[in-house]
Amino acid sequence: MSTAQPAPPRVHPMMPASDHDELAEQQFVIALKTFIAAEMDPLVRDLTNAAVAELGVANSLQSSLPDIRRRLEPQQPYQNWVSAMRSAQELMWQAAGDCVDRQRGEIDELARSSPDIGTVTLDPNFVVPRYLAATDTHMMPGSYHVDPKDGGVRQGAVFDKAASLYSLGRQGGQMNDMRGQTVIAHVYERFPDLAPARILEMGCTVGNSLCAVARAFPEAEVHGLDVGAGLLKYAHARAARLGVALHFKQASAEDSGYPDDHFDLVFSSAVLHETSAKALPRIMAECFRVLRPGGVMVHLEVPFRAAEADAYALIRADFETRYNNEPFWMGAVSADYEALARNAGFAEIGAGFQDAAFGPPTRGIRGQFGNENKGGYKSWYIASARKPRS
Amino acid sequence: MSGATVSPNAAPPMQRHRVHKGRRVVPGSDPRVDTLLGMVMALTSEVAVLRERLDTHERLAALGKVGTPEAVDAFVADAAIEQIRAAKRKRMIEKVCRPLLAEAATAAADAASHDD
Repeated sequence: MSTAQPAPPRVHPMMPASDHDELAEQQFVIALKTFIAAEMDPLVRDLTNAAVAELGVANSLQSSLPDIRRRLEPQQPYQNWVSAMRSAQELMWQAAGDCVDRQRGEIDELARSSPDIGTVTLDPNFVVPRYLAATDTHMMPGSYHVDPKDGGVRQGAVFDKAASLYSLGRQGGQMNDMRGQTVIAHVYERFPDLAPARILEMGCTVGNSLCAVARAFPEAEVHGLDVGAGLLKYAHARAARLGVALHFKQASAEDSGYPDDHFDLVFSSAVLHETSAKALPRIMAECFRVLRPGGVMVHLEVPFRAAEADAYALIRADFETRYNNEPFWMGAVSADYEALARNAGFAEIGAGFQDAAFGPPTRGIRGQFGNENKGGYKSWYIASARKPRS
Repeated sequence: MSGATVSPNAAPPMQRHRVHKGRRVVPGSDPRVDTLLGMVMALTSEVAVLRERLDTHERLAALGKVGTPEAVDAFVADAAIEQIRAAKRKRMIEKVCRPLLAEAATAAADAASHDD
């Protein structure tokens, strides 16, 4: 029952092109990130383990995290590590921003003249959720939602350019669609009967996952919501230039504005850790509301569970929370998704690790979802469930 | 940082957010060290770009070509050239960051001696 899709292109027409120096600058950022991971991370691991030994922590590492952090904070190597990590991230955003701004007029024109397929619906009165407005996520100046006057598609273009650098090409290269492919593989494995007529992605950013999902279910009407106008205008043009009709809407995952019982599949990809403890049950309830009976919810998250993490992994996650402006990272990797889904009314709940899909998945392959975490870019944590049929 | 070319279709100036909201330093640390480290990394990035541009000029010259801005931008490094450049990039970063590693090694040695 193999129904492999044709291989999609590995670059897309809206991706801002880099000139000679910009490419050199981007490669420097990748090299710096690689150096930090290879040479500085192990030093912080040693310092962390020393701190744990001094504290005598035997169990519940997570509850001891503030104490471990307080041991590390006065130490210059830890401070340098934070500075170096942040510096690499800031240089990445600067490199992506400069590359886009050099050709912003051309990119806006490319968006304006993109094929007339799909839609984008913006809400001039949209209020960005507080948890996203409080800081600039991932240190991206302006984050997902700030749209400068006459900003056009800038924030989307910068996000897309940087995202392909951020993961060092390990999330599907310039298409950056590995997470979308992994969601498809999960649906094929856990809900092989699902033939969705309508699909919604919550927090779709530039539509990189959504394009992959739309291609896997070509009969479906496919929607994506996110908080930023510039992001969504770019996402619409990106999809249209790829020949994929997607419908984008500026809305919150907590209050999407779609009708009750409307979608057959609602998913998110690495989005929940950008929300909040209060938002999480609301998002689950919203998924339940907009799904038709028998519809499926899939949430993909980072392949990391705080309860099973060693001390260094917690300190690394702590960096994401405190310095990479992902305040709910630790909350998301600690949340009990099975309980959240159950409380929202879902059935057939499953939570575990799905093997990363590096290209369009094939139907009928089993055994790629289970309890084994194979690590970053090899596994993704997924919680999924079905709305009862009656 | 920008390339050699200036787009004739560049958009009009726009207010741009340059600093991310919510930036914070490690509690108790000297923010000047963080600032200086950020500046050194940015400067190193500029040197890396400059070196790569110089390398492209030399390679164009070896082919008997003039290194106009257009020729530099049109130059595509093949895998062998990229491998050489990657090694130089790595060496430069290791050299610039060596004091950070030395500092960490000293701290680790101090911690080990306390254990004795």
